[in-house]
Amino acid sequence: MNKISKLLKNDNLDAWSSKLGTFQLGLPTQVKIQGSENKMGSVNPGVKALLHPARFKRILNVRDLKHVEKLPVGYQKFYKEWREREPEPVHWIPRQEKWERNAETGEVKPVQNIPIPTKYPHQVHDGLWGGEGVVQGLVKKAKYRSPVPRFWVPKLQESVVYSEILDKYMEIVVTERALRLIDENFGLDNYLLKTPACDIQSLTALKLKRRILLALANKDFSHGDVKRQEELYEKYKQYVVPREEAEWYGLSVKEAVARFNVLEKNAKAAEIKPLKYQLRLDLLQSLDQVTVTSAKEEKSSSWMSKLNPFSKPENAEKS
Amino acid sequence: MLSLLSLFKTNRAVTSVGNVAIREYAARKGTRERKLKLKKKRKQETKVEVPVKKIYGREFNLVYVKQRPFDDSHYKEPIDDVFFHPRFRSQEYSFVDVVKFHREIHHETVYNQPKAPLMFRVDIDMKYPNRVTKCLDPWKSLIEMKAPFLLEGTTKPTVLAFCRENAEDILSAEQAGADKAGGSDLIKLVQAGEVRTSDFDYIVAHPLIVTDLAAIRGLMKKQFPTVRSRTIGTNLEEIITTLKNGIKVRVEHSSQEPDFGYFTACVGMLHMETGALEGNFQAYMQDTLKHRPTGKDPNDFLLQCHAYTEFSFEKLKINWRDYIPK
Amino acid sequence: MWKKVFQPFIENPAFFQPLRTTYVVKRRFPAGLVSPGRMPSLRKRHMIYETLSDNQYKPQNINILLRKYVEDIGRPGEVVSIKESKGRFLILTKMAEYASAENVARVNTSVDKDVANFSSRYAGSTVRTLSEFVLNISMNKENPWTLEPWHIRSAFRKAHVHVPENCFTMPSEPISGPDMALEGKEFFITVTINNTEKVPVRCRIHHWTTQPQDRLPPVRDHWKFPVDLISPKDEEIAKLLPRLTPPELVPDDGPACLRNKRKRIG
Repeated sequence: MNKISKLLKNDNLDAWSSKLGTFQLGLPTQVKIQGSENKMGSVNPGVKALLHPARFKRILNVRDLKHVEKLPVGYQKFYKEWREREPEPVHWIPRQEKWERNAETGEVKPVQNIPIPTKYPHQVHDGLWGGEGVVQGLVKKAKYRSPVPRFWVPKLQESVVYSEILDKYMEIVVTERALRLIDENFGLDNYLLKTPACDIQSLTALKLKRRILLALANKDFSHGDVKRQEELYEKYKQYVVPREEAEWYGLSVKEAVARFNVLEKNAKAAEIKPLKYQLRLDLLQSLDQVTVTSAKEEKSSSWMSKLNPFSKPENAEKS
Repeated sequence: MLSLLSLFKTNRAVTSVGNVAIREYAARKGTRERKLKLKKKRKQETKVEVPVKKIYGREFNLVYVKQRPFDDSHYKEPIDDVFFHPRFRSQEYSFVDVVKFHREIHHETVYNQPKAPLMFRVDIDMKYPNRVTKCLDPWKSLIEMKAPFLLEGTTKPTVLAFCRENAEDILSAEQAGADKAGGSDLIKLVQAGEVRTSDFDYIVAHPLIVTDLAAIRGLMKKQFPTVRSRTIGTNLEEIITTLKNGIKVRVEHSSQEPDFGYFTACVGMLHMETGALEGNFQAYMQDTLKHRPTGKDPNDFLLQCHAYTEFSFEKLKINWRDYIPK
Repeated sequence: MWKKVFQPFIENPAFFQPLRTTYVVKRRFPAGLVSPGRMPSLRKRHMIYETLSDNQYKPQNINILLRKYVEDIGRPGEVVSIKESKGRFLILTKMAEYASAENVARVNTSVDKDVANFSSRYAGSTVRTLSEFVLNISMNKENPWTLEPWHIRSAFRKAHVHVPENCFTMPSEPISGPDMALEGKEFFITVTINNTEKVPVRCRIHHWTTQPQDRLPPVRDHWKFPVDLISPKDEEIAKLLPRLTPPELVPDDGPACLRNKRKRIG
């Protein structure tokens, strides 16, 4: 079991996730873009496959959407924030102006910032890359040279990161950008709570965020130090989210489906009330009454009636 | 009568060999010479002499160690009254303080060297302010000491003075410090061989007697007085005192590091009066700053100035800015 | 319902400050305009990018609020600008916090008085270094002398320590010589930093003479070895300072480049 999953041991649902898919905390390695969770299709279906299709299988996340449709609103909200929302540009610079004038013709046209698609390989989920990803593109060195593929891969490093609310130190694969963002936001908790899921991308980081949100919602942190708990709660009050929402946050589609199934199962189980329980209750009630009456009858019975066990009691016809 | 050739003068020469006409087109006059000159100049400029050492018959290029001092302007200033020097920017002391500190170390109760000569070294940035590649050339100068001194084991240079005929001039020259002074009679002595010019370090002459001196030019060889070496002049007393009491300063410079130069000189001896030492130091500063190119700030020109002695390893930085001539 | 509400372009970009640690890339051939609601038709040429900035980064400074005294950096309650890596380390080890407005305001109102503090950011390290310091005072072997404040000040200056005369106290009894009984023996002076911290400093007298042939033989690394005290009253002061642990001196083999490494034993 890796370090992160050790930290997240307490939650039952995470035990599910460890069975479904472990996240390996590996050293930064050569990133290989393989067909993985974020097999895109929805970002820019217009872009054609550049290299041999077998190497870059594009599987639309329609499969995911089919599942997400059936999940409750709480998860859908998260999924939208994570997958649907356009992340802030990291590897390209958007232009600020709305209009541009052609120098030669004087023609005025609008400025549209068409994003440069960033890919998030499965290694993203092992760390906290701070919104960075891999840019797949081409490089054209000279006029009469054909464009050649290139991947702009972020520089990864292992570093330690600390969460105030969870009071934990975590060794995690990060980029310098992530560390600087944490510094700018004066702490990991603040950074995670402030940035939307699309800019975090990594499921590990989102699970940490989930942890933090749950801790805030349940006021389940800084055990033993009431003053500190109040201080921290005051500090992060603006990010507090209802418990139900927090429980859906940071789950991958598989995990969400698993959780949903568990909840449904439990709900169903709660609905089903086997007759035996009611019957038991009834029996107990009736037994209570019987003992009361039998206690009264014992006083008036004679030695003759006691001899014959099958003789009717004197008061039988009356009751 | 004009010749046809002069009328139709062209560079072209048309010759005919057999039935074929050969045209020769020569370059304009002086073009080829100009190009050759440029080529030679470029070769000379790019040639940097790399010192070479032979070890077991194999030649190795000696690595040049940069002489420019370490720039610690990015170090912080100390804020406490007790601190360790290497941690902070190197402290500059006034000249008076530096002398005082060196005197303490060379005191009778400590090193017992009260007459130690106080040396100092000045580091100079030789770059021109607006030109990237060009740097100053190292110079040599003779600086007159306001409080002349003589180091142990050294003697003052000897001066031979050729003055005008009158006895006044000869007397004043001798009073100024010339070891031998005279007019045309002295020239005759030299010709006779009774006075050897090689015994003397310097030969000084008045411009009016230079024509007579030409007779013994061969005997003087390199010592012949010239305007360039400032050994000719009407004010012979001044020249003689400068040569007698002056100290030679030569700026050390390497072609491997053209933008840096330094010189070391002696200000005096520690037992001399502080005022005298200050005066000498002022003279050095005045002369050095004369060589500063126009437009260059004195603070950029003189990098640093530190004082040391041969007995102590301490190099105390002097705040030379108080001695900039106004 | 779940068709992605695709935004082909970002309409209101927030002011973008690219961090120099990430690759920033630009399209060589700009993509054509797209009417809202439609997908941009991107071709292979739109995937040709030029690198604007690579992911080599220059370390920068961050502002941190110190909680504890950190040598040569600052005192508790000070906002200091230091290198990122060091700052992060101090924050992780809880020696400092981020210098956010709230943290600074909180510190301004209530200063932690229990935390150990020094008179300045360098005072702590100066105290520590001086407590391990051995001052060598060279005095003349022939001429008579009595130890004066300027002797000690000069000796400090030679050892690259700036100690003005008003910052230290002379020993209670005057020391005079030349006296071979004093050679290599210790006495103590008290150095006061910024009128607050007091440190006793070891001083040892060494007799020196001009002529090299008359000089005393040098003791290698003498400052590492404990010696006797001039006056036994100083034992109490000696206890305050860290004890000197003499090292094992290996015989001097000469410069490392000439030693044959294979032949070395051990």
